[in-house]
Amino acid sequence: MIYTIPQIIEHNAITAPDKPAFRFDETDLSNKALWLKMNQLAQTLAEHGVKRGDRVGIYIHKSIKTPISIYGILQAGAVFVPLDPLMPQDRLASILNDCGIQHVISEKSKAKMLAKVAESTPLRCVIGVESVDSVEAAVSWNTVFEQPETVYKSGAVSQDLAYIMYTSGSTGEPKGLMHTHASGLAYARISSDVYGLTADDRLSNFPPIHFDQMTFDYFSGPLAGATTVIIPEEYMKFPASLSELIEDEKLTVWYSVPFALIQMLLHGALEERDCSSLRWVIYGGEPFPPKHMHGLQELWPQVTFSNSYGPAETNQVNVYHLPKISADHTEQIPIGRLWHDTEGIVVDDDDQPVDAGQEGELLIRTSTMMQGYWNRPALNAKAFYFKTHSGGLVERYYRTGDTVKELPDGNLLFLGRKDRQIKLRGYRIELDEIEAALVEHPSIAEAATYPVLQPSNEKIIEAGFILKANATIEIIDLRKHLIDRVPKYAIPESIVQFEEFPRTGSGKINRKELEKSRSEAHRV
Amino acid sequence: MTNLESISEYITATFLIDNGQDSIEPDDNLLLSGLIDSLGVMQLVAHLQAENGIKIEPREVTLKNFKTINSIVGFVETKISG
Repeated sequence: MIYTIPQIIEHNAITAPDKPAFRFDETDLSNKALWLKMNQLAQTLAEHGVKRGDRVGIYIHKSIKTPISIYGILQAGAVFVPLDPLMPQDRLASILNDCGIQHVISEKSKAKMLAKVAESTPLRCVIGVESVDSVEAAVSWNTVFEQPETVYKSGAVSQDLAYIMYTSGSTGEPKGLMHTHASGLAYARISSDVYGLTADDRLSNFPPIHFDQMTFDYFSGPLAGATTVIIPEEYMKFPASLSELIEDEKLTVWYSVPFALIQMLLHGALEERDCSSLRWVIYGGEPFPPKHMHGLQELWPQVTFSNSYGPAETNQVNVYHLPKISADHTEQIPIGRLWHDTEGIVVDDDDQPVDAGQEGELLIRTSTMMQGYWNRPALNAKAFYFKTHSGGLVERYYRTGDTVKELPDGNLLFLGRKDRQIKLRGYRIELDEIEAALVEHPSIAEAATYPVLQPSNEKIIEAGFILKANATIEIIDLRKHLIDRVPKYAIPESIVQFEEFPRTGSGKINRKELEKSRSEAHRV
Repeated sequence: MTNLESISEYITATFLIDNGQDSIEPDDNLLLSGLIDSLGVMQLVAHLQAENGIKIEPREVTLKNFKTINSIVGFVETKISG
């Protein structure tokens, strides 16, 4: 019986030792090799003081070391924390501090950055690099792989934490979602069943590992005995390389944000590629424009397309298998129905269930749900809705913050975020966080950020600002200012100076009006 | 100016400022460093087409051709002579 995540590989190493579990840049990592290396890493971590429940960072660009890092940390009984390899220094330091991370798995290109944050964080050991300035211990991969071939026993149980994933908080402080072996495995079991994964499947790993979709590629695929092909981050910028990879690697299941698929459709020379191996395309993170879905369905008639929905806090919990979408279809594609072992209620602002077909916030209760946010008691008190029954039984629901309504056929339609968080290309962006960072600049009086719709129907972020009296500023300096403060994907594509903003009756900046008028301005 | 110089100059002037990095070497991976994002790739393609009077097909916009300044120069030179 498998009850912790690394047991998936232990099982595969016995039943299919030579089958590739992962593949990167035309190199295979067999189940047997992964099982050996993850134990060597676990042993190394333990020798450097990692104990069950400790948090260990993974701060590398995607490579064949990625699955070894994930599974090695889990095998040590520790908790893996994916760290965006491109995040700014302040954010990295803030996560290392918040999560109490003393050990990080990294690579040479990150040594400088790690040396910079070492002074102000608990960091004291780096694996994967020969030496790092200001860090007590560094261990190269060669040393790790010289460990004897033994099985490391951590004593971990299913309710132990397995991973913590950081996402933007509304105050701009990153917050860490805590998932257990149980919630990760529950997701792997349900999703591999829903999409009928088998050992013959070849999955794409498109997202970076600090993005929640990775659980499908790294847990569900291995659980089914499939092979996951890790796609290097650089490919994201090259739709023609992505489509070539589908053909060369004979991928059968693709999972990503709509953006990657739309880029392939528009710029990926898809009509020249043989993608007949593909059987299932899953997307999630944001709505898929129907006209592009129609285009893909025309090119890939053999493929089943599914919209998967779910906040990272719960894992994906909803699925919609798309019918054929016609060329003139304009209605938004539904997010579908809650899947196995998941219950949802749609409530109004007073937490009262709404009538069928009425709008409200979706609350979710499921076995794939997180434990809560790391070290954030106040946030946890607000994140959940508790329903108490007679006998004292308490049921815990996650407040998604998403407004939905149920369609007559039982599918749910997504209507938007309750707060000001938006999703762009699959990333969560807190508009208020960008505003707060802008206003930190000494020359800025007021700032507003809002999405604008381009003539291409693509959403971008625009920031408007009002200068302080007699102050001057170059836009390029504002961009530099932002680069140090917010994630790269949250930097507004457009920055515009205003003399005055539209206001609401109470004098607040009217951001809805800005969104509307500036979208119109971009159209001319 | 050679192709190498003009392409290096364009990339430095257009992208480096956003990145906080000091300089780019001809063999540096432009993509992994986060220097150029997907919009940047499109921008670069448009520039190379206009500057060199060449037509770059979507299927040619691949990682292989755009990974480093050297690979871009090599690709552009093949296009010009082809």
